[in-house]
Amino acid sequence: MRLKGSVIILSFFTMGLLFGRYTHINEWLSGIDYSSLSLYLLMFLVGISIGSDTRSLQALKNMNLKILLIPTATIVGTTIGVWFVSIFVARYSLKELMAVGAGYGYYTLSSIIIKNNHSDALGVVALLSNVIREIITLLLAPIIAIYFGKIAPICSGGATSMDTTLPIISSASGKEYAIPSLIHGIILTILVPFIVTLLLSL
Amino acid sequence: MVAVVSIMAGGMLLGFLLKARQRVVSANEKLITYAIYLLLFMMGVSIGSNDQIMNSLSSLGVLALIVSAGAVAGSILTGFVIFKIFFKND
Repeated sequence: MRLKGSVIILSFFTMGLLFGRYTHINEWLSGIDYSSLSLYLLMFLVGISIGSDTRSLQALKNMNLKILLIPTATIVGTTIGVWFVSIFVARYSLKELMAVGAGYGYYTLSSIIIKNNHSDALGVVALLSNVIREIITLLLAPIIAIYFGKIAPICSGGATSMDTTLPIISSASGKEYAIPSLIHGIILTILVPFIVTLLLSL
Repeated sequence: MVAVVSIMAGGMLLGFLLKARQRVVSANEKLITYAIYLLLFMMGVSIGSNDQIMNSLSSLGVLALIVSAGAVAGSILTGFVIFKIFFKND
């Protein structure tokens, strides 16, 4: 079901690609900083959504300090994993690949920040890479839970563990992991803009 | 970046104040979906009109796959470690 969301999003992106490639829409829009404006709009709406979500406020109240280990594990694990694969990539530096990884699956926000602060090309890598992270989690969460324990699907989902991958995580790991998954996703979602910007400014 | 974070913080405050108004909250969820579509479409436009990127899309895709494989594998392993040490006996 949730996969449908990713498919729709990818089709809008593809449609944009085709319009950009084969029409003059980009010239009509020239002078308008449309990517920054749409980012501001999205951030504002996401802020409203987090602020008005009684579920997330409740979850934050129930927070046991041990739950903070989960986002820490995700950040450390992503860093180690990206560091390892960076050995095989010549085109971009470790810092640039880390910024891509630090989207933690939150592709809309991370890709546009990277596009605005770095380059279009790295923005595309961030978009694709973080969409892939979400899709891998949606497809593999049940297997991951069996072989690597009930926390691993949450870490794999990254920031998406609060919404798109939450249902699959809660069925793969059990309902008692839904709240930790939610808190984990909220924390990473809030951290994404800070960590990505920080890495790019190093 | 200060602008982005303060806009988000302003939204959070507004959302907190509006949270009793269910209709506004659910309208907002719809708006987010449309904003994401708009954002992705606009990103597509800006990338599609960039010939240099269009010509290297397949290599960028492979690169993206490599980064996500590393990120997911690393996260699964650290998730496995903390599960074994801290959560298994819960």
